Amino acid sequence: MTTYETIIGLEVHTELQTDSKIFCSCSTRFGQQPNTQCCPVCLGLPGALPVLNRQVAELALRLCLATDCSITPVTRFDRKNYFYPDLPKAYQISQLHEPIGRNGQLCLKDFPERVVRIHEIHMEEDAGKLTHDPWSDQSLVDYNRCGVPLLEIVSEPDLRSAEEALDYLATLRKLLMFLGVSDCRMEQGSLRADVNVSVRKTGTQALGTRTEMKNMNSFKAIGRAIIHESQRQIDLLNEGGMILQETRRWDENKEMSFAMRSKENAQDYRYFPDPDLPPVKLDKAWIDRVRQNMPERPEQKQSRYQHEWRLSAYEAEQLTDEPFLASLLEQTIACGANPADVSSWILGEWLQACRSGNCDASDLSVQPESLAKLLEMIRNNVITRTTARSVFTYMLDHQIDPESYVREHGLAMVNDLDDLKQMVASVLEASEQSVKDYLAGKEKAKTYLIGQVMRKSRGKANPAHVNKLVEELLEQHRQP
Amino acid sequence: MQLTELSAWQLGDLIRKKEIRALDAAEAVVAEIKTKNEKLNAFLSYDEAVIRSQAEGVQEKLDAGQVLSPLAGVPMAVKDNISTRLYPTTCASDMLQGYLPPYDATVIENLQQAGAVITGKTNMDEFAMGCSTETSFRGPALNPWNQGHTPGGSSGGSAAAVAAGLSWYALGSDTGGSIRQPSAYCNLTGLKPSYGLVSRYGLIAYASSLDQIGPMARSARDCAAVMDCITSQDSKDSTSSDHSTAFKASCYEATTGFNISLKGRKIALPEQALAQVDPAVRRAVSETAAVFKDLGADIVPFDLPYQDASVPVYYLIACAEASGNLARYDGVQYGRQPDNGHEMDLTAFYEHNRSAGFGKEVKRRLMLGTFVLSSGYYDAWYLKALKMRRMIIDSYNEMMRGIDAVLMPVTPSAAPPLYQHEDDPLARYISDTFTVDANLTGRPAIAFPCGINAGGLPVGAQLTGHLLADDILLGLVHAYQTQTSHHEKRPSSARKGEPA
Ligand SMILES: [Zn+2]
Repeated sequence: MTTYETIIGLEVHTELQTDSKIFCSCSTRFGQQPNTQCCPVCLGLPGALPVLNRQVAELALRLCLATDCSITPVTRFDRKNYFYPDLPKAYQISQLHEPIGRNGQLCLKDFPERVVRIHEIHMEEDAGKLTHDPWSDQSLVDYNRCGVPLLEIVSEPDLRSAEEALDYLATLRKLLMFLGVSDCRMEQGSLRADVNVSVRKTGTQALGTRTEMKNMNSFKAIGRAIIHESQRQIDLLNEGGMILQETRRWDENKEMSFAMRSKENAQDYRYFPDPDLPPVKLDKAWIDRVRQNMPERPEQKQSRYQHEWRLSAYEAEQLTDEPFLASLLEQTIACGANPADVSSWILGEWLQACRSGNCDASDLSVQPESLAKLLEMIRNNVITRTTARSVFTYMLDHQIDPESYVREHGLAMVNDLDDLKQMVASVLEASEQSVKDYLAGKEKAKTYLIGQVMRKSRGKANPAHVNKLVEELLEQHRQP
Repeated sequence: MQLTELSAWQLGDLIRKKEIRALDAAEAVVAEIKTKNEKLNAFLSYDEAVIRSQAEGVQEKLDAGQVLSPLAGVPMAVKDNISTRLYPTTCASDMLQGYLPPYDATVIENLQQAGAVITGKTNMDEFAMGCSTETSFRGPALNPWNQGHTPGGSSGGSAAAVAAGLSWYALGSDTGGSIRQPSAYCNLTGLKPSYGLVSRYGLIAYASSLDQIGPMARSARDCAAVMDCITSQDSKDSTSSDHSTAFKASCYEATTGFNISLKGRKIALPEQALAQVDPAVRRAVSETAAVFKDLGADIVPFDLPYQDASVPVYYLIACAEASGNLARYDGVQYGRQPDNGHEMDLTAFYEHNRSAGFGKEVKRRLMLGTFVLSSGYYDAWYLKALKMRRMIIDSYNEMMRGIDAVLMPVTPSAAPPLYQHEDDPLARYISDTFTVDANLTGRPAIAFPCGINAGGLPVGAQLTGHLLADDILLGLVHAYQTQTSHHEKRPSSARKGEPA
């Protein structure tokens, strides 16, 4: 039977993390009242003119540099003309002829041999948002998103499987977030991807006819859409059919794709240079400045954590999974905490708190200074790790200074050997059976007894002392 | 003293010296507009109460000792494609009937700061596409010199208003001659400034890379005073020049000196251009050259570069840009929607609204522009036009080395009768031969009166200068106007109080 190879290219749209829109000074904040973040420019009022927000070009430059793109010395904007109610000017300002960057590359994480070439990176403006109101049977337009800056990152057809495509997306997403280019929140639409899929007989060189898949709202959906589409094409070819070059819309609920109307496929956008926007000169001085202010990339951080702070490869990778964790780590260490302590606390207690609270890591409001203080109290034997956990839980909902909190609530560790001895003695007295079990050789009984002592001290007993005392006293029981 | 016969700066002078109150000037112009506009159709909108309250506001500031500008308190008119909060801004199109902009164009803000009293919005060709105001949704304006003739266009309403004494000066916009041609037809001085010198923010775009706002007035000196008010570097217009401050300093100076000598100035006269025009125009322009010579200038020969290409290149580029600029008028935010709109699919809805809302000439140009940008035609038409434009710019740069200005007719003839070429667009387009180069090259060009033909209609001449050297042009024409009186002639209908 003939085997096929799947060829995938991605067009990723990402919303830039700027305060204001690409061609006016309106805010880009998400989730505001409809049509409250608009002005004559982004509403496309007659006579209004666009002025480029330089921050957009700077963030775009960051990504271009980080993906080894060659920078277009004089980049230009073009108008993409089409009619749609969410597009108030009836054209989108985009870049066709002279995009800001070309010929870059991105290395995948789990497929290290695969280097994905980036065809181009270009800047453009977002359109508004249409919602259909079923009650009034009317379509409503919210122009808040009009003019929000986007980057489109177009890859070459260098990917060969859904796994590779998802790896590419995850790697790109991480890079965008660490560079401060985008927060990449898919649920807010700040990262979207269209996928070009074609198949060819294994061993052949010529590319098959490709289709473009749209409307995938999650990584999962993208993976499913690729698998589905490549199978559809293979089945079609095996039946002797032909692939049509078309745009297909993915329906996540039905797990199927549908060809869009041919009219939508035959769009002629009549691109031409936007006469309202002079070409943008990206001179060496500007590029150098952007290069100098370039945030550290995730893989750079990862290796620094391993070498400078002696974290394990696993820890370093986990901590560079998202910028928040990395910055929490770095800031807490900067406040004087021990790197190993911070790392284990973040990957342990912090993430656990997020899982049980069902929230993002960055949603916890504990400040690095407080966390550092808490961890230092453990390291200096001021409190036990158990106490620290409960203080931390309290800190999630309260702005407190952990040191004063421990002091005021008498949570400091009990180190006094006489006090502890008394406590252990009374526990052993009350747990005759466990003592017998231990003496009969059941090691587990000791753990239970230690637990009882800790409980009795409400977690404050110095665990090392307790361990030692329990062993000592148990041994005394052995000799009648 | 007939107030309406004064020039703008003369009136401004009297107001500044408190010899006349701003309100008196406003009342005088309101009376004139009320008597004559119904016939002339120069204004699409004006409002007596709004005029008076502006005049009172300016007077208060003057009385409080504020220094505004030499034109403070002088009533003026604005072409209807420049956004104003005071008056609807419709581009003389059905598509924008009732549209009241929520913001003012930068030139309007500048004028208001200078103490201008804005009387109203003037008639024009629909979306500035035309050369006669015949394409106006509200019908054409008439030429005050002869009401059977066009005042020109597209800024014809502004020209008619100033020529008829309904305004002391007006703003027009010029994409391919729309300030200069009506100025010539109505015996006015009109400047198409260097591209970028005057902000386009708020000017409803026809062709963005060619459009410029500029003054239309009774003398170069008035034009200079207006330029002084409207010029500014505007952070809201990316194509705005940073030269405006330097320019403001020099332009007023250029037209206020006496004993103007043009010794050392070189003015080029393209003989081949003169060969193509009416004898009356040829004679008037030749005489103009002689006056410049008497003033001390050297008159040197010149060949207009790529003369046959200019008009086609202009229309290809202008229409292409317009097809994008006017796409937003689709019935969703502007224009009329059909009653059964909800039964239509989106394409049918757009087709209906755009077919119903635009006039014939606008549709013609939008279709042309859409065509030349279409896939398969872009390279052959639009891209080729852009390359030609580059070549025209380069040859002007080359050929104008050492030359201060090129002297030419504005149009091949004086104002034609209304509707002369209604069914022959090509014949109309070809009359733009002498005006489009300034727009294609971004160079400043000024039209000024140089005689009256046998039919009693004015004839204009034109000087094209160097980019951002608008002050030189104003100075040259001012020098000419100190020696001649063509610019002082008024149509008989402009006499005060007489119905037009
Ligand atoms: Zn805005």
